[in-house]
Amino acid sequence: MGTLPPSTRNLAKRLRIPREKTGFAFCFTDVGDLLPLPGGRGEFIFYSEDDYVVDESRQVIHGPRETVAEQLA
Amino acid sequence: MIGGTDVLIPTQAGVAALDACVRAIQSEWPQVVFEDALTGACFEAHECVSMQEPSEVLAYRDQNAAQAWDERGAADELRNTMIHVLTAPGQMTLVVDDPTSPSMRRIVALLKRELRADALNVPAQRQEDD
Repeated sequence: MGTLPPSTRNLAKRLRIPREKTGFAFCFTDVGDLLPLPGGRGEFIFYSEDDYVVDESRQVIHGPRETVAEQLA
Repeated sequence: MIGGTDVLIPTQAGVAALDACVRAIQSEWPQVVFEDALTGACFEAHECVSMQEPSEVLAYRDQNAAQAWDERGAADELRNTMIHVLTAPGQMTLVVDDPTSPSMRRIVALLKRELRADALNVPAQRQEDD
C-alpha cells in the first residue's frame, strides 16, 4: 500500500480535490482494511465505505502539510 | 472527498496506448497542454512515446485551464477541463469529471477505436507444437 506523501508534486490534481484541502495532513498506520480505488488511482488512493475511525495508537503525525512533509522527510 | 470518475480501458498496447490517448485528446482539444504528473514537466504530444510505464499525464484543455488547475486544484468551474491519464500494464485509466459529457464521450470513443485498430495491427504469433 503506497499513499502519496504530503510533499507529492501535483497532489491536489492527482487526487482531484481543491488545493485548499491539501493544506492539512493526517498520517496514520495502515492495517490493510482500506479498499483501493478501481483503476490506476488505486495505486495511491484507498477508501472506506463507512466512517473510518483511526485509533490513537495508529495516529502518527498531523499538522500543516509543509510541516508534516518536513517531519516525514 | 476524492473527485473524478475513473474510466478503465483494458489494453496491452503499453506506451502506444498513451500515444493514442494523447492524440485522441488533442483532436478534441486543439490547444491542449500536456504535463507529466510525476515531474511537472510539460511536453508536446509526440514526446509521450519516450515515457515509460507506469506513467501519469495531466491533459488540460488549454493554457488557461492549466494555470487555473495549478492555482486552485479541482473546482466546479473547472469541470471537464482536465483529464488525468494513468497507464499501467494491461490497462489505461482516464479520470474525468463527467464521463457522459459530449467531449469526454468523444475522446473515450476515439481512444477505444484507436486501440482496437492497434490491436488488429499486432502480428499473430505462431503457436508452437509440443
